[in-house]
Amino acid sequence: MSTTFWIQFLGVIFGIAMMYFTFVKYKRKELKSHELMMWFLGWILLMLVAIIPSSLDLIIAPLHFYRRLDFFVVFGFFILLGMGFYNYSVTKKMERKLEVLVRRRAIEENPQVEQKHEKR
Amino acid sequence: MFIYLPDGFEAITMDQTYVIVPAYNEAARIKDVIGEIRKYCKNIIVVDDGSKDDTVKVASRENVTVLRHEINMGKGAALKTGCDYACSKDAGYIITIDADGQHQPKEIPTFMKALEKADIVFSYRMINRKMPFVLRFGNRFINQTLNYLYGIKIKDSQSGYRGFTADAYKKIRWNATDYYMETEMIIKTRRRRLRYAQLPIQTIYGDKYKGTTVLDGVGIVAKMIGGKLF
Repeated sequence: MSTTFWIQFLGVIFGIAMMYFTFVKYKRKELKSHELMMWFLGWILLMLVAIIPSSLDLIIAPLHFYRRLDFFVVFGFFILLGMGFYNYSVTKKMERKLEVLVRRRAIEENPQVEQKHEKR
Repeated sequence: MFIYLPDGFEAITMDQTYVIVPAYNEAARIKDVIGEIRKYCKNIIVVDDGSKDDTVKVASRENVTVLRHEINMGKGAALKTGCDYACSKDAGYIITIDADGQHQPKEIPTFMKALEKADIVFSYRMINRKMPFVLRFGNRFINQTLNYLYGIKIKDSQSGYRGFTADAYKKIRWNATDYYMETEMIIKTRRRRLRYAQLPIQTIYGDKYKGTTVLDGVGIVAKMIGGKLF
């Protein structure tokens, strides 16, 4: 069996596994139906590319990549950087919201503490 | 209750002075720290930063204002909560002091005296063999970086024992929730062209696993560089 077969096989297995995890998240109501569709589309595309790698030639040829794998490495790197930045900005936004909430509650709840002292 | 006043200070000035004590898991020490501070200032605000021990319970028994973060947010966030609260109570002067007993409240009057001529008073720990080596080296490195990048000479950029006027606080109100707040405060002091003074303090080193770690130090330097670049 050729090396390509095993890469294709792993790609399909990975895609199916990710579809399963996505579906579980949907059943737990952690994802909405449109999010489920979006992620499913992504995993199906990944499997299609794994099964028919030549489908990428339309993109690879004009970009002058020597091999398909080179395209995957470069493209994957861009995706990872983009996702890293997205995660960073979302985390920062959440941190900020959490900080505002925690600090506001600390100050707003204080009169109760003072009342307790007065009763003593 | 007798409160020590620095020379030339009116009691009304001390009425406007608030001491902020950010505390995280300090149930064992907080009572003594509050007791000592009380000799010099009656307005004490303990900000419990999501402690897992009885810090809130112990501090509440001491009849001081206790603000509680439900989760641990970091020293910067805790101090900001305390300072915001003090300002809402029309504070004129704010002193920040650590809850681990490292700082000596008997130095509060010296801070108040220095605040007559300065907007912000930074303290500096005497560099001697009592100071752990990592702290000595790290502190010196951060001070040098701060001087190189921002042109401000501070003898101890990481000491948390500080004093400032409420007006100055409004100008230097930091965004950092972690230990970077001490550095951010210095940078903003420089940028807002505020008057500052530096006071030597005595320090008692306790738990070596608390406070700024090497990783925190690396983070502080990285943020200083980032702040300069962007």
